Amino acid sequence: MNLQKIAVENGIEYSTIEIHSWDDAAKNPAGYRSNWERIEWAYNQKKRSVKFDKGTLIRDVVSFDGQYLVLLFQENTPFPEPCNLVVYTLEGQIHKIVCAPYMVSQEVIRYHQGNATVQGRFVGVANKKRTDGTQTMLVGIQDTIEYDNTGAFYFEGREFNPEMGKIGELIEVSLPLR
Amino acid sequence: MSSEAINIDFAPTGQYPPYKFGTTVEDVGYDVGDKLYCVEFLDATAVGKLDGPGAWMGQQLFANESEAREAFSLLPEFKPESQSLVIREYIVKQPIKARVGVAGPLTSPSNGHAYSGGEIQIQLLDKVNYSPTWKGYFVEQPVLNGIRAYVKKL
Repeated sequence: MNLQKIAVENGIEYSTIEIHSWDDAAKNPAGYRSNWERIEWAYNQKKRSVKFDKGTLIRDVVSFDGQYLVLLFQENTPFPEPCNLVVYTLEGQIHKIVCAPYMVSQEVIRYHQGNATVQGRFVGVANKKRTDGTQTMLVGIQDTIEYDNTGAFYFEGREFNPEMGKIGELIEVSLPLR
Repeated sequence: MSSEAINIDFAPTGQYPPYKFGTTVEDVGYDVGDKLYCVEFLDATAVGKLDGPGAWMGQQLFANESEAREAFSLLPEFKPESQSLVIREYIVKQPIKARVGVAGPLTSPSNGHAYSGGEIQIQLLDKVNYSPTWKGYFVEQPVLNGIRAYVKKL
């Protein structure tokens, strides 16, 4: 699915479809994430679109089965953190609004002296191959307390089912805490 | 300030001591137009991470990944070797404060390699690299196919 991001400047619409090089991107308002205010695509011969607060879309991914569009927002008024992951149908309707869960890895719980209710923050979403070759969707979740206190970045990657809107198994962690 | 005084702040949280022992660390300001360079993932979003600058920068374009990893003691624990790295240029558009010192040597628990460090590193202060705050302090790079522009692929 060909997703285009749209920027509007002085009443004129600009699209990422016009961008084919870094030079194009540098000259085109749609070449900058902070200018995006709409995402659009074609489905069943119709143009579909989702409008959002300007500059608040930080990630857009079509699920590996091609059935859902998953958008991650930041500082977006209708979808404030931690409930800023939104699953859309290909018709452009909201299917699920998903909230970031508590951190779950034993490392984080131990780091926070047994606190198993440390609120996570979505930092990303991506399609990913499992070790057996099958596909899944992954959401990246950050320990906000640790990040705000120390600037260190602790990341949990967890499976995500866009159809159900459910966050599942812990797949990976990074920058292990000691 | 001595590097020891700064490194000790990192110990309680279990982080690696970033500065070379026996050296000095200085807080400085960077002004509009100054250029800093950050070794980053080509596409952090592809692995579910946030697309934004790191807190540690430098002033040089390394010849290759190995040179960058050695100079900054950039362990695979910080940046997995499975991910492509690039150097992005950050042009200051609002003055920032940073801490400048010499990267200390570190040994990777995962591969056992002792990285020598030794290069001047710049630690951004005041959370100016946080997302989306960073766009107020640095000129935003254009995006092509979801990838922010970079100046060198490692």
